[in-house]
Amino acid sequence: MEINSNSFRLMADNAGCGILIIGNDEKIIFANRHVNNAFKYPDVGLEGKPIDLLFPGQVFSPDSLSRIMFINPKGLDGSLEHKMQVDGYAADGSRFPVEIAYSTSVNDESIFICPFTEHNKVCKSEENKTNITKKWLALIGVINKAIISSLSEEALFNEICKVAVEIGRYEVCWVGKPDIETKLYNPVASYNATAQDYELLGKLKIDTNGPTSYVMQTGNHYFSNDFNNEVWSHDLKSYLWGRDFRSYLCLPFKLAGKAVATFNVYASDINTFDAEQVFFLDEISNSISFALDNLENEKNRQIINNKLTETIAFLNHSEAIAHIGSWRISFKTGEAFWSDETCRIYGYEPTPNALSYIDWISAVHPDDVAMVKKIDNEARKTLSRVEKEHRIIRKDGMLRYVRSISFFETNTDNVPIGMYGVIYDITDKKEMDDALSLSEANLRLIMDMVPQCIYVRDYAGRFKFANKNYAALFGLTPEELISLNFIELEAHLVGNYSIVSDSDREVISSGLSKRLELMPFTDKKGKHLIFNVLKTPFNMVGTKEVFVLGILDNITDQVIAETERTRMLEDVVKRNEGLQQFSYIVSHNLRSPVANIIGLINAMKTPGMLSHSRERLMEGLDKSVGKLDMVIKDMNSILQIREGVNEQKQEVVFADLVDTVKISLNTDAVDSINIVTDFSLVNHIFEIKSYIYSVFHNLIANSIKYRQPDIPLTIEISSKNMKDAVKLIFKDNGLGIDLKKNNDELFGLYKRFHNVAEGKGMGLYMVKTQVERMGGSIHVSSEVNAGTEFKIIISTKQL
Amino acid sequence: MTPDFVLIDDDDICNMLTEMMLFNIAPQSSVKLFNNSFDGWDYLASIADKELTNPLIIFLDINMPGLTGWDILDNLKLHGNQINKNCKVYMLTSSIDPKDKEKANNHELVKGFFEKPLINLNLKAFIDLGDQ
Repeated sequence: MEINSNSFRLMADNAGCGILIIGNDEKIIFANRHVNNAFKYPDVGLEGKPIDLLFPGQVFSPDSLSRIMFINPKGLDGSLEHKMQVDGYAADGSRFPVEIAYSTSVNDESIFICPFTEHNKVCKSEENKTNITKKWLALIGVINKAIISSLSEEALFNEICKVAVEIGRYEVCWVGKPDIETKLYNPVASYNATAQDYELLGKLKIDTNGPTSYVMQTGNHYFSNDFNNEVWSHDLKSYLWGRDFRSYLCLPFKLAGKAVATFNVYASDINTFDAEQVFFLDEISNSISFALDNLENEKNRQIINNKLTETIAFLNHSEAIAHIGSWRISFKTGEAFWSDETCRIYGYEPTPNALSYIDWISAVHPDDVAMVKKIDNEARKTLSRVEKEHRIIRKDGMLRYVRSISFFETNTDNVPIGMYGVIYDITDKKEMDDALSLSEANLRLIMDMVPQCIYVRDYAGRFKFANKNYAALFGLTPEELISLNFIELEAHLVGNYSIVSDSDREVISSGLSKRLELMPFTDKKGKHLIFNVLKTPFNMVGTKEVFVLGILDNITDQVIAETERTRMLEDVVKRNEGLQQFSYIVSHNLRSPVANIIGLINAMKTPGMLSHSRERLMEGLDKSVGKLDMVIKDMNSILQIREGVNEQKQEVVFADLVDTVKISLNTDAVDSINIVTDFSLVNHIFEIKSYIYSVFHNLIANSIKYRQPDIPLTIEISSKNMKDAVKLIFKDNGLGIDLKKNNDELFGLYKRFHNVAEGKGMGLYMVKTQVERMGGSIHVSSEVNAGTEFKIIISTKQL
Repeated sequence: MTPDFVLIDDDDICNMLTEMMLFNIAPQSSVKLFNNSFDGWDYLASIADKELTNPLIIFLDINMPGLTGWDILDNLKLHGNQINKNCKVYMLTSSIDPKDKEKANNHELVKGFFEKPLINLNLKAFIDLGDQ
């Protein structure tokens, strides 16, 4: 290696000692940085200068051509030839002792680097500088380590002070957190400081123009290599002076770029701090600041972390309570975060490990996978909120229903990069919903199956419910009926139905049920129906409003059947009466002439009887046969009435009838008969003429037959209009009938109540039969010896 | 002892036959004949309180206008204190209705029930019985 080569100089400059190479001419061939500095030739260098300049009068062994001199060597005793202590003279004339070792080894290219010794100040400072450089680096390492190991701020400061004093061989280091307002230094850490130092530092006031203020305000370092020249703070200066400190360095420690503490280094030498040291100390300051920031961040992070942990715990707890799980998935990695509850919902043990999309989709019920994927893909196009319900099969094989709500996560380019959302188990709700809708459907089915018509209306008349049967009355479905507004209702409600139902309102207002019987109703098809209706106040579940619940029992068929039955019963009764009458006729009226005939013939057979009473017997036979014939004819005419006649109904004028009857009865022949008629209200009827004639004929004839012998007979005949009927009244002033005694048999066949006139008990029977045949009725009121009144009501209703 | 007869029936032919029959079997008996029930009752009422010398046999038709055979029986029950002791009432009717026969047999004053016509043999046997 050439002495003048750059690499040699670099090596030599970084050696732990001063290196001088002297040529044969006793001139300096090479001096390294340490030598130049020690002898105060830093700028010009010593090359070419005579060695005598540095060590005047000192003779070095001239054994070799060139001598390499190691200044302040140590531990090389065995390898160097010469060792001595000499006085060295610096450029400024100062003199100092130097320990040197030298060797004459011109061609030896070995470089010896030796440790410092502490005897020599120059050597010491030179040696320190090199060592310190290394140690500073180590210190930075320590600091970084401290930062990494997250020491507390106080521990960090104390460590810094200790390390700085030990490495830099300073007297005292301390860290303060000056308060500009109270002007206190607030020492927080120190090393090598005495108790007095500490007490004093706690008392001293900061000089606003002093170094601490400067450092705190500017954030720059401040140092003085001889503070005696400085102008600042009397107190601190006197303190420093009193402690025999000469050099002073103050560095800022910053938090988030702002000075929050000062790092103070005191040394007993002047000129302690060269540029390099200051540079390193600045580095340390920066590192510490960085560490402080980190510490602060760490503290914040810790707080945030704690809060986050707390929040996550709270969230997990909340999720567990609400049975809502949350999840997040990254499209890039396919990894998904599942919250504890999400895991539980899917039947996994809660795990901090990421699960995958595959884990999820494999849990989805196979039949729902396509649907779920479709929903997600659709939503992905618009990045809209996704809401879906589907089935899952849990790890344990249980089938559950879940509902998930999720959102897409996008990057700044609005490209989806993930999804997050919540999920919850809706099985119970689903089952309840299903059960509810099932029971609703069942109820609906039952409602529609029952034969009754059922509806619910509000006070205004709007339908809230109707079953099929009810809606069908209006030719509608229940849904249509309920959806109708008032105007549409008006158009759809048919027959005698009105929007405002007084009875509906009454039930709602009174809160009392109401039963309406035999209500007629005409449905949409025009069919006449009859209902029994029960209306009852009704509170629909979930409302406070009172409605009316109407249940209509369609009894049309029943009523028709009932009517039919009644009619049949009446018919049967009539027929039975008829049969009884016939039985009576047979046992009495028919039997009577037959018995006589038998008796007469028997008498004729009796010896002597015929010759004796021939005339009388023959006459009796003749009369009996005639009577028999009459009864048979009567029976025939009665049967004809009963079976009905083929005669058509026609308009029968009452006045004309009376005239005809008068002629047939030859009433004109009797002076004392007065027939008064009043047909002003109704003068005719549309009926079977022979029946009406028979009624008029028989009643007038009866009146004449049973008139009072001493009083002129008056017959009053009048007519009245009734609802769907005509009433005829026949009133006379004749003998009258004892109704108490004869009421049962008055209209019976062959019933006679008077002996005064010839009668065969046929008239009233015929009248009654004919009136009933016309769908009418006959009533009698009478008083013996005062007169009789017959009222006949004949229906005009068209059946 | 020969009984006296009272015949109340609105059927004249029947009355004639009955009278003939009675004359045939008991020519010495008196027969009072009424074809109007009111007249018949008037007669019975007139002898109701009298001691009768001969037993009295009444033939009573059931079906008569105004006052029926049943009515006369009811009247007798009320008013015939004396006559009831010595008289026998027989219903004589053309009715073949079993109800009439039943009613007659259950009536305390009625001794018998005859369907018309009265036949010789029947009547003779009955009169003999009545004698005893």
